Amino acid sequence: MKNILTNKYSGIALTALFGIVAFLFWRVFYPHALVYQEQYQLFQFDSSYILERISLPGGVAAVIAECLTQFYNHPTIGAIIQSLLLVGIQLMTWLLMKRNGQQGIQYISSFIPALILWYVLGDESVLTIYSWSLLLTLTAMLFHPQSSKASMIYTLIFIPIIYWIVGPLVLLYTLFVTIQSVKKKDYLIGIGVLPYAVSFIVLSSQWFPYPVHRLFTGLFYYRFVDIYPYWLMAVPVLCLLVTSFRIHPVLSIAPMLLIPFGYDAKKYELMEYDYLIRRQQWDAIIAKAEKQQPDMPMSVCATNLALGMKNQLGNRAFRFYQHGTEGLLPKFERDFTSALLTGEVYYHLGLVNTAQRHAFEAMEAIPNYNKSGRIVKRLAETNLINGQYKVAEKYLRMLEKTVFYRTWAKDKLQLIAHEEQIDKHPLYGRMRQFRLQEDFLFSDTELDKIFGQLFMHNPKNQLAIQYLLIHPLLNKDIDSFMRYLIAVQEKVKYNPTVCQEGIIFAYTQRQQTVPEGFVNPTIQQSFKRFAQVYSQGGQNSPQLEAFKGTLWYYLMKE
Amino acid sequence: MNKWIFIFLATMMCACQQEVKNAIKVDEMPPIYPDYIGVTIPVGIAPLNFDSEEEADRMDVFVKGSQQGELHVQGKYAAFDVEDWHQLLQANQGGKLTFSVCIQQKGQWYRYQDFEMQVSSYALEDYGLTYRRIAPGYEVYSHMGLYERELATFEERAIIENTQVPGMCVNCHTPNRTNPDAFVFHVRGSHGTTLVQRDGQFEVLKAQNDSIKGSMVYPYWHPSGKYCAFSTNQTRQGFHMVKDERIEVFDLSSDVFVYDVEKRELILDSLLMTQSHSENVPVFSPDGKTIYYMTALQQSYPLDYKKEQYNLCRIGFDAEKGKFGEKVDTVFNAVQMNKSLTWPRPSYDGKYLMFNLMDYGYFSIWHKESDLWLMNLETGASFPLEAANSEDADSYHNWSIGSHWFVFTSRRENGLYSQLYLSCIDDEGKPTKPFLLPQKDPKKYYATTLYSFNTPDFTSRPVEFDSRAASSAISSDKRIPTSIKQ
Repeated sequence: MKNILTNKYSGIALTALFGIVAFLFWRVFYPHALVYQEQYQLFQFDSSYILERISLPGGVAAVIAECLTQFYNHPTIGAIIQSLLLVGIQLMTWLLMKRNGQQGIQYISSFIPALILWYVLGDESVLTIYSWSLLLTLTAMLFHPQSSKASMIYTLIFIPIIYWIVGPLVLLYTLFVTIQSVKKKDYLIGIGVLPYAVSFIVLSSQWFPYPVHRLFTGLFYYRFVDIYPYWLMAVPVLCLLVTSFRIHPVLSIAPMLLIPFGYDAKKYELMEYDYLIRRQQWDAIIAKAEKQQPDMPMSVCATNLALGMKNQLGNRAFRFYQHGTEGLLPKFERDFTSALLTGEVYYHLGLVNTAQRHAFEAMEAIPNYNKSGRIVKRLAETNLINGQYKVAEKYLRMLEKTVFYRTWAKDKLQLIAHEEQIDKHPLYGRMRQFRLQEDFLFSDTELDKIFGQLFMHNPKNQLAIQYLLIHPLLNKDIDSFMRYLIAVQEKVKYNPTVCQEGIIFAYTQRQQTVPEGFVNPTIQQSFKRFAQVYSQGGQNSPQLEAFKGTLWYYLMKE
Repeated sequence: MNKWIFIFLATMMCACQQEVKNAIKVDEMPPIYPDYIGVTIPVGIAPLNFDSEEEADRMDVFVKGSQQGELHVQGKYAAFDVEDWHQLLQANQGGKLTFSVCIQQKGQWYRYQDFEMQVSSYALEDYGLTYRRIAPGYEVYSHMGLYERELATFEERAIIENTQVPGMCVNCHTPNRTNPDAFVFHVRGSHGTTLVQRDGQFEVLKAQNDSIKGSMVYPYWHPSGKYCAFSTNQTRQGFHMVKDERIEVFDLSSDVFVYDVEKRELILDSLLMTQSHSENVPVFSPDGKTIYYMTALQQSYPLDYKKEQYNLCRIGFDAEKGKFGEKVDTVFNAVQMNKSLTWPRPSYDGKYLMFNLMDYGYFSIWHKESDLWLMNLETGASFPLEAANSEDADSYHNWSIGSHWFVFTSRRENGLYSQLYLSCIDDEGKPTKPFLLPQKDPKKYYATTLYSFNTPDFTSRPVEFDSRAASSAISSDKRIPTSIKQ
């Protein structure tokens, strides 16, 4: 092993392997994690946007990172950048180690900080700015001069500059200089450099409208401004240890084993649902749900939407785990992820105002005050549909200053004030036909009535029909279901499996015979068997499991 | 030496300017943004820079004063030197400025008709404006804060921002008759409080007193500075379903009371806390002897939100005894007109009372039909300020100390993002065409901002406020309790 690593090329091979594994990790298994990072920022090639950031400590790294993060919208490019970033950190660590006289087998230890960072990035709130700041700090450390005099001048000049570029990670640089200076018995720099850097951070609180603790924990590293995961410090501390002292290479195994634990399966499952909804990959959502039953309100909501969009909700709703009406449309939460997903459902239903509200609220709820490309796009769309052209134009002009949304924005700018073109637009035109004309105030306790209004206004609104009829069933309210079904069937031909299951259940409950032609014989037979099993074994009868996936099972068992 | 530098700079500037050659004459007013054509401005206002509405290569603007002076600028947009501009305005107070505008598009110059701006003879004595900048959202808020803007320049300074106390929402910064020695603002969120500052000292009050139903909401100072009137509101929001409407704000209940700042006592009165009516937005008359407030018959919300219509009432106030009068008069019966009145604001000279009139409710920024009205307090006559109003929501106004200038918010530009406009009232109560608050590069500024400007007021001097100490105090759990005057 030792011999292998003393070979000049073996290190390169190991690094290349590390990069390839990292690339595959992001591209194949976590593309949604990359897109998630992109969708909660909006990098604009605009002087005000850039100035606003670079006027703050850490702002330069923020601009660089956000500029590159916009490419995460394209998962392959995103995965390349993300893996190069990890490789960059490993190589910088190695160069620093090498400068301190480490060689050979120690090369393996140079992976420790990058591996720990990989683990840390499992927390989706750790921003890419943090990784870039780390890389820039390591670069600054590498360029730190060896001689005492030069070191002092360099430190005096560059500490404020590095603080401005990377933010409080300047303290990593500072501690590195301290250790190096003490090692060389250069106590003046060793003792003085830390107070010098700290005083800059403290002093900067006089200019910037942030509490001092925020300036010490970084304005741009973590999405939540009132929470700071102090374990984020683990990465710089490890950088410091690995670059300054000899760490046994065996210890590299630990962070490697740690990585899978950083990526919470449930959280990333939701992220993937959101990613698929954004790309309107309805079949992929259904396939995903078929593979593994969704069991959280948001994933159930996404599955129901996908089923509805493919006009399958009426046939297959109960083949998937249901979460009551909350799984159809979760209640509004002041949260950027759930409001965004729920807003998608309202949008496809044709409730343009409500979709707009959820989009706006989702953007306002982004904890680090960022804007979002995906949301601004939705706001532009809802304003276009609603004929609020001046507002739509404002959002489109913003998107015009981006890489990924520019073409789309330019295209949509052509629609401004062109009523006919919007009416003819396949999506916006349909939305205009779906949206309600009579005003009332939205109430999330009367969603069934709103679905009813949508249907009455436009009986072609298939999603509204499906939601209208599923909503009372999820509530186990058979009477309302029957009322709505009669209203629906007066206007359109719609009688999928779930409705037939509901009809036979309702008639049996009322001890009436189902009129002919309403329920197909197979369903009638099946229900007969269900009723038999239920009457003999009750709710806990194991034979009921055979009816899993039917409405009756949901009504009586869940 | 300086002379040579000046000559060098002048030469460089001339070299950068193009001669307006072969301009095609256009028999129209120039298409400029903001629309400053025919507006009336005060001496001392920041340069009214403007741009071409459409994409343009360059603009060439020549300004001539009716009394004396002239300016010439050329560039991507018309940007005037602050000092030169002030000199020109000073020299032409009571007169007018004539603007000759040429716009170059795709290499071709176009010469438009000249337009004029009136330089008012009424001074705008105040130093600047204070306002809140916040996205025009629903329930959640992102970055926001209270800001101060110097009127003579483009300088804006934060009074306090929510980056200083995460999760905080600040609202309704209210000075006493534009004097920043005394001001109050309200903080919502988990760190809720009412912050009162007097003579450089601030205190953070307990957000709610058990004897009133909500927190201290819409404030207005007594001229003595000893009292501040507030409403206390149980506010709710509703969200419209149709394309031209967004939000409805209504109060399940609201009352009016006066806060004795020195004794930290709430002065309550059953006449202002009725069960049957919602009393709201109290304001003191300039002599401090009367409180104007609005009142609406209590409705069943949210069902009957459209029936919520406010009238303007008044009640006496004895500042010596800290007591209310014994009878309430209706000053303006908006309900009779099937309208609703909101945001009463008396002018400081006691002549007028400005208010908003709309179809129902009181939260005028979400009502497109909301217009500014003026009541002559001597004659009782009321009329809409037609020259100032627009098709969209014109709302939340405040007077400058001299009572000739007023600031208000308007959504006339795009229907959503509120902007600040200033207008002037002459001795007959006639308003002038308002002008949009100037910005250095107005087209870029207003196109890119995602903030609404709201609750504007004038400030006679820069606000002196230790936002760092205030942030610490707001973040802490310590609150000063208030008591009820017995």
